[in-house]
Amino acid sequence: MKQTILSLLCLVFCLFGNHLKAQTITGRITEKGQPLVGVTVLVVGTSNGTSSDALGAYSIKASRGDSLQFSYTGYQRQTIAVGSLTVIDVSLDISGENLNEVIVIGYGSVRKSDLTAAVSSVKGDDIRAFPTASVDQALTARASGINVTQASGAPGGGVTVRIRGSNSIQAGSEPLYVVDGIPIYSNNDAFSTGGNRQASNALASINPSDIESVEILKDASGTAIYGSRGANGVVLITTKRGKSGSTQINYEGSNSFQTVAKSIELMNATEYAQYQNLRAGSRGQANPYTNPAQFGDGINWLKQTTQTGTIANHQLSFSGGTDRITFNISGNYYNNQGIIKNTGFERGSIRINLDAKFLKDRLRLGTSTLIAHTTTKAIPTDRGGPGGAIITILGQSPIGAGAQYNSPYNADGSYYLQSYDGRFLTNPLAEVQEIIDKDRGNRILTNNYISLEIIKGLTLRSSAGFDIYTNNRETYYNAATRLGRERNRSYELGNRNVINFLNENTLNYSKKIGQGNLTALAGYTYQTDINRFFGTSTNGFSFDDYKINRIQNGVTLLQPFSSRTEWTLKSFIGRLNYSFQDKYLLTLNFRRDGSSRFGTKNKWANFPSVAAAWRVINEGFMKNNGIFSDLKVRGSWGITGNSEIPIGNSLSELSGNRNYLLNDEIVAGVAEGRVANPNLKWETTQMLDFGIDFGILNNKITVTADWFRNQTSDLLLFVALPTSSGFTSALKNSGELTNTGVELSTNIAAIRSGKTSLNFNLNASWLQNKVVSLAGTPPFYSYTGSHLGPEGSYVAEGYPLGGWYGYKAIGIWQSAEQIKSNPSLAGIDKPGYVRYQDVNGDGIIDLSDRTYLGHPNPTFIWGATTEFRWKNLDITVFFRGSHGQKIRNQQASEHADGVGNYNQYKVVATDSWSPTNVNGTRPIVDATREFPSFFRRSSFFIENGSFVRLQNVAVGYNITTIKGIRNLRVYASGQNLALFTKYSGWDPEVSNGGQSPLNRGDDYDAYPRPRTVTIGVQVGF
Amino acid sequence: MKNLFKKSLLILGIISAILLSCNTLVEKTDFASPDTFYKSEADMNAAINGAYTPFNKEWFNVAYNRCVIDCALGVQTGYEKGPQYYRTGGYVASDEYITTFWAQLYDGVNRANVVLEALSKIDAKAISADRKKTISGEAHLLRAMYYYHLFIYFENIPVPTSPTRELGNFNGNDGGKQKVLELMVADLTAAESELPAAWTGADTGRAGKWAAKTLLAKVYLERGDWQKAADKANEVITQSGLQLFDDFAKVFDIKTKNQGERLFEVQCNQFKSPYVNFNNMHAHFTPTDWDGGNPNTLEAGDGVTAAGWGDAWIIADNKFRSDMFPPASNDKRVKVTFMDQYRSKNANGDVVKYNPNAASAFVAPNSTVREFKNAILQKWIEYKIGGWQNTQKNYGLLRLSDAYLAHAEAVARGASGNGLNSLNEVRTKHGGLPALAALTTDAVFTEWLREFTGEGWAFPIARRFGKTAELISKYAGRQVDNAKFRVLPIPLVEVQANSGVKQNTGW
Repeated sequence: MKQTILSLLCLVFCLFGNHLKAQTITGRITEKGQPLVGVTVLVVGTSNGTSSDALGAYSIKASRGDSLQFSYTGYQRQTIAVGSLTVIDVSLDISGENLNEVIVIGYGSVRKSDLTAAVSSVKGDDIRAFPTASVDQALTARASGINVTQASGAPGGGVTVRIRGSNSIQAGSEPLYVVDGIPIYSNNDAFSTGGNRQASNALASINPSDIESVEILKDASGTAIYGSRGANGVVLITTKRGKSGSTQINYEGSNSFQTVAKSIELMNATEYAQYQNLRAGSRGQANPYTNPAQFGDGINWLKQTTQTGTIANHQLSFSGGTDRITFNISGNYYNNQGIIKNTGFERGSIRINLDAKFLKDRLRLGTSTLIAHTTTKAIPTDRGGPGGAIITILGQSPIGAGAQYNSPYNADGSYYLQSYDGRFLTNPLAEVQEIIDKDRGNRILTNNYISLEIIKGLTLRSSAGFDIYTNNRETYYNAATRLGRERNRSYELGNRNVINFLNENTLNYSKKIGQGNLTALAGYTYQTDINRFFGTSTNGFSFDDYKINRIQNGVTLLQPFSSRTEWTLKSFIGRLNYSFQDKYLLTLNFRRDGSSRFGTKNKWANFPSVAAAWRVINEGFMKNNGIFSDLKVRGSWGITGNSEIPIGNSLSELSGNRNYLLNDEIVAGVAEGRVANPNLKWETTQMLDFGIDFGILNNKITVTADWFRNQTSDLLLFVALPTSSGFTSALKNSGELTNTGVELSTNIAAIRSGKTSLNFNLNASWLQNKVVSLAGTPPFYSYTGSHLGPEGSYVAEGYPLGGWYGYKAIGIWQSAEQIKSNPSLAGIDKPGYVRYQDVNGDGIIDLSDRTYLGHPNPTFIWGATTEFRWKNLDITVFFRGSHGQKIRNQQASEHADGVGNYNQYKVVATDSWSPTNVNGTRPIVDATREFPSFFRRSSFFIENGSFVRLQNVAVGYNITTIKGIRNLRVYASGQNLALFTKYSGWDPEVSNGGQSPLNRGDDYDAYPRPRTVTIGVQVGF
Repeated sequence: MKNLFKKSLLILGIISAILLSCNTLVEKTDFASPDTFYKSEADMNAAINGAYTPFNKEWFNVAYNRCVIDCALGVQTGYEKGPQYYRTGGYVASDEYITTFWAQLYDGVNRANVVLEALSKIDAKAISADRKKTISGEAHLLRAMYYYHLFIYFENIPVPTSPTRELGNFNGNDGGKQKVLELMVADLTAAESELPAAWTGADTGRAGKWAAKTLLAKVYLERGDWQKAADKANEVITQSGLQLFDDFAKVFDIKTKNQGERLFEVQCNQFKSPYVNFNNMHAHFTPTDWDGGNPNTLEAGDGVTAAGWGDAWIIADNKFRSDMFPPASNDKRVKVTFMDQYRSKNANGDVVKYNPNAASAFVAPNSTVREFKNAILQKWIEYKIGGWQNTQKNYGLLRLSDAYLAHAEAVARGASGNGLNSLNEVRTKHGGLPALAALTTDAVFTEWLREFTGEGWAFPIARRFGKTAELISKYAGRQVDNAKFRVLPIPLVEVQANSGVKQNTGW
């Protein structure tokens, strides 16, 4: 894999790496006398270019008639005619450059100063030092208004992103990603291959190192142009493109080591034996273990199954070009071996970005193409239920095999099997290292354009793009695994095939009219998607090796499964930008979407937005104001939509596969599975945003602040039907939800001299979420009847989304008298049991005493970066925090319940109530104690999930004295280095519910979070 | 140069024109629409087959939910959350078991309604007249069976008689009690004339005429039409030619599925319909430490047949057991109803025995004790099947005992007929008990409970006899108002989402 990419890249390099010849010009580039490294020097009108070395020196060949252009990000550009000069020294000044920075927006780009929308921008360089599998993960706390949570800590595991909160209850709430112009809704389930685990991250096939910049569009002015898909925000990902000039070769490589960031302390074998004795005693049974101490520490299954994980990340890129053709070609290899054995994620990818110009630049052609292959090795985690790997690891008896009770193996080398919870025989180590569960995915993501300037100022652009994705899962349980024994070896195959086609045709017009500037956009886009899945499995194989087993060779061929979904979206788009005197800015956006997903009566929808900004700084009265170096106020309003609903839900469905048995043989059966809803349509989100951008002290301090309110109505909701209809729910547009918040980001360039710089960057977001109305739908739980007992999120009017509803635990019963004289569970409660609050005051504890117990949504999140540079040394420290959320520790509700026939957290041994430990904070160890209906549904397991994390630290050094090397930087970095939280589980950043707006903040069967230390190098030739 | 410009413009124009014109926004689904179905005999067969499945469509299926609800009386309990919860009487209208029980049964009602409506519209040439008639009979019987379940737990219910095809105009429950009784009588009267006496061959397992008549007798009991109930039950007893098995075990045996007295059963076989039409009740009743071997022969088991969690999930109350089956009575049904000995994995494969006075619910690992306290219900349990899921037992909905006891009950309550004979037939044939000399309603009540112990019918039986509060007091130790607790609350979601539905009194 690796070799193939490298040789391909070399070939490309040879094709494009040509040089021109002329007289040699040398010189030195400085800022206030200090050398500037890496300044681009270009012979104007040619592709001939170079860059300054560590001493600021450069050397370039040019002819007498040429001009040299010196440019460097953040500095004012200079152009100098060569004439008779052979030595040209240049001094560059820091520019008020931010203003001329170009920001990518939907279907175009604007100068930052002309922006009327609330947009956060993250540069690719900011995230490069910290290897992550996917771009969404890399965005964590990098900008205000975006909340990134890892749904699974597994390598390549799912990530869930919220921009300005969840604007929906049951429809998808992930943002729309637009990768080089191709809109992708990153629904991991829609890309998944099934299997006994959470879906992997669909964005992980896109290499983060290729990214030039990420723009996060947050308000209607930015997102309305994406219409029925804009309501949850839009993330624009722009990959690196070539610049004309000499070919630059860059290599970046890093190696990382990963360890379990925070472990969970479990009972050792002696404590476990004592625990089992207490359980037996509570049932009137004799002690099963007469001498607990004989077992010593026993075996720690967590240590047995974890390892030091590694990440290898290599990236080689070639970029450059002539004045006609520019290119950026890169290859990437990423390999993460997880902290749990037998888990990993591997990616090899090639990106080819080309641009060509003809007809005096009036005709342009280009491509952005990614080819990626990914492999995910997984075990059953993050999915809940008995048999989950983490559940088995935490709960299996720590009394192992051998004389020391610390071996996972029998004397003959076979796995030592013990009964888990009296239910089935298993060995956690075998469950981790014997299961084969691999996804092999291929993705081609390509967008290709042709644009033509028809007359001056009027450009027609047409593009065609494909996202072709295939993923194959192969799962095998051999006889060493529980399922393998139960099913006499089991082999599963799953296949996902997605073809997405996009065509966009736009007309751009720009014209100067007097003191005003007008740009206009009109276009038509068409996108269609076909998503197919096929899965099959077979049990009962004669040979215990999956490589020689074919799916048809087993004894029991289970029912295969297939599905196909298709959608089509047709859209008309339009935008008008007008700026007057560089002071008054107006943006109008419009999109009309026609979507196949919606009901026959509601196929088309309109999404307008209007935004205005006032560049106060350009007013006469602001001249020489002495405080502000920049000042702009802006406001926007608009309507966006959300159409992420299960496809086909507006139609009634006749479900096959309601098969029955007659005479002990299967017979075909059908039943109607859904009532049609021809009125079904998109969710409508009204977005209102007011913002201010200002800079003071010559932009040493810049601040952007926004207030916003998103009001979503016509919520796509599976509304409870009267079940006497024969149906439990139907998808209807019903209800209203709001997200209101404030965002602040500021940059303080405290020191900015040639040798030393110190920069602080802070972003902070406050968010309040509330379900305003369910339009008559009764409050509901997102699920009931879970294996542990508790219900899912409670959705009710007036509460934030995703909260929990249950009993309030208010301590431990101390005596029979106390139980008798207070509201209690008659016939159940005993001293040492948990006491619940009689919320309705009727003297008894029952279902009507359930109450609201909190929600998992952070109300305040922030990220703070300090960058320090001194000579060749650079240091970056990045803290972030998340506050106000609660986490439901379902893992503890099982493995620290003090009831079950499985191993427990150490706190159960130390903190449980007993007649001799009446101050114990946990209930008495008692195998007959009530747990599923009250205990697990109580506030006992709902914990404070606030945290502060030392997310990243990086230290780099630029080595500048090696000939032939443009720049060389070595660095060491760390991720997740420290976590400050009261939460008692692995990590408060957890979401078993995957990407759903509901069931967030549940911690169960979660893959532990890694701490990562990286050593890397970046070289430019 | 000019040429290239023109060509480019032309190509762009063509591409745009093609894309603007193509494709509509019609959904291309991977599922069928009901609008194009129900056109042939095969379509109708598939529709009626699908109408049988709501009895067993979820993990907590109709039979399991009935067993959980029985726990409210205290006659049985368990370690699972439902049984435990019902035993304490904590259930209210928002309870999840009530919610799903109601929904599953109305799903069945709607499917039967769909079939009946489709039959009324189908082209006469598309289906044979005979099959049209029998499908109608099956649909009528199924609709009545679903409604019967709803009636005996909730009484005053909405009674939709046509398929749900829009999101609104839902049926209320005003006068629902009378409506549903009338509908059941009408449906079953139709079904008894439409259905054949017996189904054979590939159709074995469909509901037949005698099932319809037996259910009709039970519906008449609910209406208080004692004479009609007695006559209808007697028709089954005297005209069906069917007899009770001498061996009570055959009522549950895999080998005698759908045979003899077994009138109507939910069909299960894991090997033919894995994890769909299988009997998960086995998993809810097996003691965890059981080695899976046959407790009668005490041969060694396979170690993987039991499922369960700590204690058995559902067990009988010991007092209830001794009241129904006093040890001295030597009822033959005890051996079939309870697992009183087995080889235990916790006791190194030794035999452990039931003793209501044992110290512990079950034998602990490594313990030297060889007795246990749990009254293990085993009518659903299968032996040595190599995995808890490998079940093939059907679960019954109607059998000949229903007709005998319905007859006895109707006579005991005032109808004319030889009810005592019917009662004694069940007592002697199934139980091996001595014949009683006099017929009393109490004797019939007890026989109902005894015959159907562990099958999940105690709650509606107690309701019909007005003894709900009495049983709750006796076995659950709670003093409750019979008028309220004789029925379940209507699910909260129904009351909230359907303005036409009023909650049952007291709930």
